Order: sequence, then C-alpha cells, then structure tokens
Amino acid sequence: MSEKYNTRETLLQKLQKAEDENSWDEFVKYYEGYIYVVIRSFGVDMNTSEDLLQDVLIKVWKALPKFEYQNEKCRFRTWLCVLIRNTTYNHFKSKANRQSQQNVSYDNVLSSLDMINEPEIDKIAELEWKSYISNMAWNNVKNSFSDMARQTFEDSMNEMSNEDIAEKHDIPESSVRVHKSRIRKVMIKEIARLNLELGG
Amino acid sequence: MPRPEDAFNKNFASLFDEVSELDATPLSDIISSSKERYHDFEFYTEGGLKKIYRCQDRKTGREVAMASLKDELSDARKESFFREARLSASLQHPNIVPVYDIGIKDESPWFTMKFISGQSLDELLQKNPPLIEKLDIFLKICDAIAYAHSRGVIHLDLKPDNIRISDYGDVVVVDWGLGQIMASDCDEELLECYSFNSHDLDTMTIDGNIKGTPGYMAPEQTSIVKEKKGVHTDIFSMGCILYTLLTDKKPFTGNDLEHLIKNTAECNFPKPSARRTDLEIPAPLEAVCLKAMSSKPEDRYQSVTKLQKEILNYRDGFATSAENASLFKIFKLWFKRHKALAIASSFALIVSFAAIFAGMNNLKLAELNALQLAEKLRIEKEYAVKINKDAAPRFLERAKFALQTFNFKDAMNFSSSAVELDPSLKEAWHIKAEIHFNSQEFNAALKAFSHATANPDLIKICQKYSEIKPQDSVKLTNDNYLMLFEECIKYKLKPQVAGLLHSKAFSEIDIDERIAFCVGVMKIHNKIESLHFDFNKKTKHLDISNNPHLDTALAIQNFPCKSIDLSHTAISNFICFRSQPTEILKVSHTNVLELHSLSLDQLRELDISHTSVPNISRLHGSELEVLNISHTNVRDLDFIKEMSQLKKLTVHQGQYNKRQLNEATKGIEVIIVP
Repeated sequence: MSEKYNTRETLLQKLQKAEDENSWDEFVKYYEGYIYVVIRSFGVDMNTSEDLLQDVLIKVWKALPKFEYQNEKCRFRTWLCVLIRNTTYNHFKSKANRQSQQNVSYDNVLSSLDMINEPEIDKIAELEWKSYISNMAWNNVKNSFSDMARQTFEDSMNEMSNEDIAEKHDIPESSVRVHKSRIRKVMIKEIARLNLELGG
Repeated sequence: MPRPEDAFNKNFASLFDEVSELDATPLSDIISSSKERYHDFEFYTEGGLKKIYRCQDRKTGREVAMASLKDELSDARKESFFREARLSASLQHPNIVPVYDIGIKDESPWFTMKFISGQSLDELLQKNPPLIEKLDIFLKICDAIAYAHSRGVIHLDLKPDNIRISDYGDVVVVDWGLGQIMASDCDEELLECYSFNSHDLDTMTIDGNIKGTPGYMAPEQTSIVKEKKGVHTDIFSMGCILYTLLTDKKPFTGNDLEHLIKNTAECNFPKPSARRTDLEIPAPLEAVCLKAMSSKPEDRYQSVTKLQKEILNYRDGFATSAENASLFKIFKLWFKRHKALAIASSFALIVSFAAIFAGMNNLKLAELNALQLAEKLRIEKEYAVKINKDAAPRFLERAKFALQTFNFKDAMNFSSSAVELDPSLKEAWHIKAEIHFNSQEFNAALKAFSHATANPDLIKICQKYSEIKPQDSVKLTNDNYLMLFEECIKYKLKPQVAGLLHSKAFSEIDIDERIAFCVGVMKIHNKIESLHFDFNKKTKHLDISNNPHLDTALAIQNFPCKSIDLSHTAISNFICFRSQPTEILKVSHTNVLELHSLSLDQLRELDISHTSVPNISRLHGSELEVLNISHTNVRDLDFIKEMSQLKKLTVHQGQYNKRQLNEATKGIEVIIVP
C-alpha cells in the first residue's frame, strides 16, 4: 500500500490545509475521473466532457479554499456536483446563444440540466460516487485474482446467475460462489478504504 | 479517446451499499469490541478431568483449543486445574503445547492453548510409519522433556496419546495435568504452582483415578512400589514410548488392571525383540529401550539428554553405549556411515591395516587383546551369517529356475550357495542332490539328500550305484548307465530320467560312446528290441529312418551330425534335434504336426512331406534352400516371398493351382510329385 494511505486524514482535509504541494495533483488524479463521469452522466459527449472537466478543475481550484468542509451539513461531492452542473449548464447556455444562428441544438442537454434540481444532483453525486469508487476499487484489486475468478466476478456483476456463470466457464457452481464471496470480501474492504481516504 | 471511466460498470455500485462503517478499520473495531473473546465452540475431545473445545479467538482471529473442567468444581480441583495451566504456560518450547490465556467464566476455570490439528502419536503409529520417522518424533519428544526437566517440571503421564503431531510435522507434548514441580530445581516463580498436598503423593488423582496411564507408567507410579517420582519416572515412560515405537505394542499388558499394575510394579515385560519376532528390531535401540526401562531408577539413563544422545548415535550410525559396543562394531558402524569413502579407500585400508594395528598398540589401545579379537570374529561371522541368510531364498529361486531349464551348472552353483548361507533350506539341498545324481556323483547326492526329504526309491538307487561306482569323479560304464536309466524309468523317477539323459547327452563324450548311449537309451525309452541306427562318420549323416515305433529320440540331442533322416518314425516334434549342427533334415512320414520346436539356424534342407503340418509360417525368414512340403496340409504360397534363399520346392499334384504356383515361384525349381 502506498504512503498516501498511511494517514486517516482525507485527501480533502489535506487539500484545504494547502500545506502540501502534492495534494492538488493527488486530488486531480483521484477526482478528475469522478468529475468526468458526472459530466458524462448529464448526457455530454466525450470531447466536450474533457473540455468541461478542465473548466471544472479550475473552478474547484479557485473555490476550494472557500468551501467549508462540514461533512454533516454538505458533502463535498454534492458541492462538487453542483459546481459541475452549473459549469456544464453555463457552457451549453453560452454555446447555444452563440450558435443559435447555425441551427445547432443543445436543447437536449440544456433541458435535461434544467430538470436537475439540488436533491436530484445529490442523487447523481451519490450514485456516480458509488460507481466510481467501486470501479476504482475493482481496478485496484482485480490483479490479485486469477483470470477465472475475475471473469466469474465480473459476470456476477453483470447479473448473471451462478448457474449460468458455472456453465459459461465450465466450473462447478460451488467454485463460482467461492470466487464471488472471496472477491466480494476484498472489494468491500477496498471500497471502504477508498471511500475513507478520498471521501468527503 | 474515451477515458477509462467510460468503461466503468455502474453495477459495481451495488457493492458500495454493503460497506459498513466498520469495514475500513475492521481489526481495531474487533479488538476493541467488548464482545466475548472466544466464540464458536465446538466439542473436540475429553480426558479424565478435562473437556477440550475448539473455538475462535475474536482478538487474534485464530482457532484455539479451550480446556475446561468436566464437572463439579471443588476449589481443590480448580486450583489443580490452574496449576496445570500455569505449569504448561511456564514451558515455552516448540515441542510443548503453548498456553495462550487463562481465565474463569461463570466460576468455571478455563485455559486456552494452541489448537493442533493432526493426530496423536497413537493414531500415527497405526499407519506404520518408517522407523526413522518415528525416531525423529521421539527425538523431538526428548527435546521437550529435557527442556521441561531443565525447568524443574516433570510430566508423569507420558504416553503416545499425549503426543500430538500436526499435519506439518509439529510434535508437541500435551496434557501436563499430572505434571509436578521439582521444588529444588525449578524457577522461583514456578514455586507458586508447587503444592505439597498429600493427594499429590498418592497414586490416585483426587478423583480416585490412577495417576498415570497403566501400560506406560513406571513401577514407582504404582502404589506397590514406594519410590520418589522424578526425572527417572519420565525417563521410564520415554522408554515405554520407545518400546511402543519399536513394537507397536504397549510394554505392559495384563488380563485386568490389577494384573497390569502388578506387571508394571515388577517391571515385567517381554523384550521388544521377543514381543515381535516378526519384526527386525535394531539391537542398539532395544538396548536403549531396556536401559531406559530398568526397574531401578539408578540403572536408567540419568537424563533425557543422555537417552536422546543414544538415539542420535544410532540414527547417525554410531554405536550406542547401552549395547556395550565392541571396537569391531564401532568400526562396522563407521563403515556404514562412510560407505562411499570406505569403499574408495578399502584398498588403502587393507595395505595399512597392519600399520593401524601397530599404531593402535602404540596408542595404548590395550583392550585389543586376543579375547576381544575372538569376540569380534565371532560377531563378524554371526553378522555375515545373519545378513546372508536373508539372501539364501533368492539363491534357491534361481537354482529352481536353472533346474527347470536344464541349466545344471547354474542350478548346482545356486543351490550350493543357498545351502551354504542357510543350511536349513531343504529344497535347496534337494536340488543340489538331484544335480549330483544327474552327474552320477552318488556319494555327494546321498549326502545332500540326507538334508532333504527324498523319494526312498531314489535313495535306494543312489545307494546301489554308489556301491557299483564308489568314486564320484568317474562315470558309470555305458551298460551300468543304461541299467540305471532303465531303473529310473521303472520307478517313474521322471526328473531323474530327464536329468540323466540331458546330463549325458550334453556331456563331452566320444562319438562311439555317444552312439552306444543313443542306441541304448532310445531302445529303453521307446521299449523296442531293435533299432535302425546308422551314422556315417565321414559324411556325418545320421540315419534313424524306418523305426515306426520310435517316438522319443531325445538322446540324439547334441549329436554332431550334419544331416539326419528320421523319416518313417513316430516322432512328433523337433526337440530331439536341439544343439545339432544339422543342415539337412528329413522327417517325412512322421507324426510331426507343427514346426514351432524346430531350430532353423543352420538348416538348409527340410523334408516334411507326408506329415500333417498345416502351415509353415515358422519358416518365414529362414535360409532354407530346399523344401519338400508335398502331401502336407500347406495350401498357401505366402512363404515363398518370405524365404529369400529358396531354390527348390517340392509339392504334390493338385496342392496348388498351377498358374498361381508358376507365378509365385519364378526363379525357383518346382518339382511336382504325384
């Protein structure tokens, strides 16, 4: 395990103290993926999402010291998602204004963003966070397992039944259960760790 | 370019919901939790006083064994339970079961210790492990007990059941419930476990059970012998364990407990080698075992370390002191340990042997006197006999085989060796006697027969001919030989008939004697008055044709003839032609049915006409040049292409389709007889 996880101080707390030069890089490393998936979840295409990601990061960089970290009151990721939503909205609003003569329509994105109110954003933030952390956890741990175990688990995540998985890989169903339960245990540990280290 | 996040599987999010707060720091949470430390109890076993459970230790996360008292809880019992726990806990040794924790729950005392999955020595012994493995285990037990003794603790209940062996080779001594502290030798801290309660001196535990396990106890542990218990008591039990390792049996037995205790008190047990005559129990180990199990404590080993040293000596191939080894024995063991070196240097050793002896004298090794030398030689001889005796049956097997295959020379060698190594082998003596008989050495045969059980007729004949021909080195005259041969047939001594015949036919005799032998034997064998037998010494042609009643011609084996005519006889196989340099063979009008017994090495011409031979595949690959198969049952022509040297073939009219015959026999002269 690398050094950065030695402390239970979260990444955000470190970042806010701004004592550590590396903490921003670290923040980008771990959060840009999250920001990206949230933007994509608004229905934005890949290239635009990349551009917006940079916008959002700059805004976070500027706004972060002002963010009052109060875990109970407002989660960081909700705050972040509001910021992402606004950035995305503004981007498409100005684009729409500029490009209206050329008959290019951003109405779809805009209208869907319009629909998104604060509780809605909170939901998205949570859902994407869970997915993001879980997937990251999977990337971290999957190399510890055999190909067979990995495929079995991935299949089970795609809601295949044990029976079908067993048939697909030509292994006994009991092995499927063993693989699943072992990986599940490890995954839950890793998710818990990532959530604690990165979360806010 | 899609980012890796685009490939994320949202389904994984479901796992996130399973994460509880505790998962991030599970260990701290478990260890600091106030839950009961031990859980998931599972009954494992019980002894006289204790019950053992397997359970999970929440704090360390491992499986442990928990001992607790079985039933009612008097304070004295509790105290002695804790005493056992403290006593075991004070012993920190890889071969002693470690105690982890001691406590009281609901007034009931318990202690936890390492859970050793595996088996007891008792159970292991039922799988008949090799002796060397058993000795390794024994050495580890020695380690444990030597350590305990050094700490002033004696076990007093050593037995195979109290030795546990894990699947990965850990050997641990368990159950220190009867253990005592030697107040004079132990650490001061241990003294608090010391008790001088009168019940500790009794042979009974406070529950009225016998202290110790009958069968493995020392005499002083019975109530009959009044003697202080101590290190020597454990050493006696170690001797008993060694006894069990050697014999798979308890040293002491008895019809009932009383009898058993009496035998124990009197130290009355059979020696390991007497107990198991079917096993080869190494003498040194038996000596060690007997010394450890001496009835008087002062005769036993004075420490476990000394006992252990002896086992190590044996294992490493040194003499043990218990067997009072002679110099020869020590030298022999040295040889065993350094076999390669010893063999390589044996030549040098022989050369320098005298020098060594001189040197030994100079080194004042005065014990090397004549008496010892004689003793050494005796041991050496005994040893050689013992070692070689085992080899005798192998020689006998080979002798038997040689006899069956008429290889009399080998049979003689092997049977002689066999009886030399083990004179009790009657069968080998019989074989030896038979061979002597076949070679007409009647005196030697009689001598050999005297060690075996033999047919009285045969003995009678043997005696008769030993009188006719008193010297074994000369042979019988032909007439006497034929007389003997006839008698053997009369008494139906088939092996002797065959043996005499074979022996003579394959001996070196001149041609006239051979002819006389052949004619005589064939007459007797076939019971015919006259025999047409003509041998041309110049052409080496043997003519025995036109003897319609001749069906056995074995006497002509090894006959030095080049061509042979046995047509119009009753012979049915080719065995009689063995070891003849025959090139031309005529067996027409005979009872020959098949060619399998035919030897083809030198054969160039073969006439099997007017026989019932149905196929001649045996001749494939032969170098026959002339072949007569007329009036046989041979109908195929396959053999022609398999016989490259064939020049002349005789068949009868109608045997083959002419066209096919012509096609198949190009370049071969074909004679078609009517």
